[in-house]
Amino acid sequence: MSTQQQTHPASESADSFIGQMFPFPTADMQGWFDRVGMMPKVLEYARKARRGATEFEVVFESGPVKLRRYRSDVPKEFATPLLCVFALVNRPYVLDLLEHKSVIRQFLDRGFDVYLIDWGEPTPADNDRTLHDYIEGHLHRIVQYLLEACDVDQISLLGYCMGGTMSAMYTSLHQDLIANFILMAAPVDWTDRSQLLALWTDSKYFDVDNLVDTLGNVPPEFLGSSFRMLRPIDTYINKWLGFYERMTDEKFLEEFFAMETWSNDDIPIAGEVYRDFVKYGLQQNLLIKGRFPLGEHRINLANITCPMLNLVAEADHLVPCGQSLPAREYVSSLDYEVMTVRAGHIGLAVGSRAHRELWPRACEWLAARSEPIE
Amino acid sequence: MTQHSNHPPFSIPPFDPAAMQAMWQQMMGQFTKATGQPQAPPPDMPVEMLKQMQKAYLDTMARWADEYMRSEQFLDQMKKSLEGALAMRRQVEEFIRKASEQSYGSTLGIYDAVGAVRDAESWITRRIDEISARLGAIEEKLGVEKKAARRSANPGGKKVAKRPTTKKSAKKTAKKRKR
Repeated sequence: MSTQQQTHPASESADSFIGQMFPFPTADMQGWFDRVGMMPKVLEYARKARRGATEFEVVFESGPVKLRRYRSDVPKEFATPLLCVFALVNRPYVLDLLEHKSVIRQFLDRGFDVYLIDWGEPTPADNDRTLHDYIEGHLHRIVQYLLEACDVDQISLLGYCMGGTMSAMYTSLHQDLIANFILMAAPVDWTDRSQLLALWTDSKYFDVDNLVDTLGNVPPEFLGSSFRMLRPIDTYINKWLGFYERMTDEKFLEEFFAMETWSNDDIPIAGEVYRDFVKYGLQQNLLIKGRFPLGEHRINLANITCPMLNLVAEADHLVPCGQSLPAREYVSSLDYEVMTVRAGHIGLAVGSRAHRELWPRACEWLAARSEPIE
Repeated sequence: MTQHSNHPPFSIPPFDPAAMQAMWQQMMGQFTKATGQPQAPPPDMPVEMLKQMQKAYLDTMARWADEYMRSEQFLDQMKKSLEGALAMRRQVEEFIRKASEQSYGSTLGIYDAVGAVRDAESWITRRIDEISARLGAIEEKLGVEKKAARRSANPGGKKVAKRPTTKKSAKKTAKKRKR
């Protein structure tokens, strides 16, 4: 018997297997018709998906960067303002995606004065802006503005993902201006190379200089597709199977399209920032070695002494625990706490479990360390 | 050097039916092991059971995809594709540059330069606006403080002489009045 003949039955069995496992529309005709009937609603939800839930005003601008101050009817309880810093690779409204899934709302409802940085979209003129320009330029100007506008000596800082790494760098340089520091799914240590993104950006396979020298700003398509390819089956199959299953639920549709709108709202990243971050962070892991260059400075995380909260998502495939948990070893904060939740990287900000279990605790942590309004 | 390094950029490794078959068999083997379903399920199988099988199948696919994306073959190919794409981009840019140079003379990257200058200009203008707003606020604050200082220095309420008006400011006031 030839090899081909031996394998035929297996292939046939596999074909019928798959045919029955993805049985729509034949298996559940009624369900299929229900879903077709939902199409106008689906389109309506897709069309009306908003970019953020809470009202805000832009109170400060620095180049393309805008500082948002969120409005709330809840009276302010704390004088220390909270500044949220998101990554440069996506839009920041993931922190305020929907009314019931908003980190910003959680803090507003607890009586904080909440600000969020919108880094804006870099143009070709921003191609040569470095991490130093963003951290010591824009971020520092914003912090100075807040100190003056709120008439305080210190602020609280929350940094998410790459924004967390940038905030850690800032805090290490200006510890005197930061009262409390919350690190949220932020990488600081890239020693563990087993993560797919770390492997793909290994200098053996990825020449970041060639990429930045050729393209300038790194296009959103490149970044977005890299992130999506980390979990291709989830992104391209499971997500849509889940959508088909639950598309008759209107609450699900609202959440699904809010999330889709955000995840496809990619922006480019300034070429030099990308070069700095990949080369000195992902490839050379200089942050934990105290040698990450930022302008004339070398970042030393040991300068961080303020109370610090590290929020970690246990199922984070983008910034695994191994990249964020080691922060404890490199900072000098005596008041240091870790809170974990069973969620993914984005689930930490928008997941139901995170909003039920993690954020109320995080708010209490910050409340206990913020200056109350007299 | 790996065995694939001889392929030119953009090349895809030749399709190997045996390797594909082996991969498929291995995947189905893992799937069968995970679900305990050696053959096709009966047509009246409960939906929950089918969903479990679907999950096991997709989990196996995801594991296989993850393993593949970590393989030397994939990483090597990724590197070559990216290098090829970047080389092509440079060639296209060079071609456009040369073509525009021939058509418009020495307008070397003029459009890029103009765009960059415009962006920089708008950034600088905004920054100047921002600084002047802050300066205005400081001046206002200082003005209020000066007034307060004057008031405290002149408790009798005697009017302080106004600044002498210049010709320009007089003209401006006249214009305003006309309006």
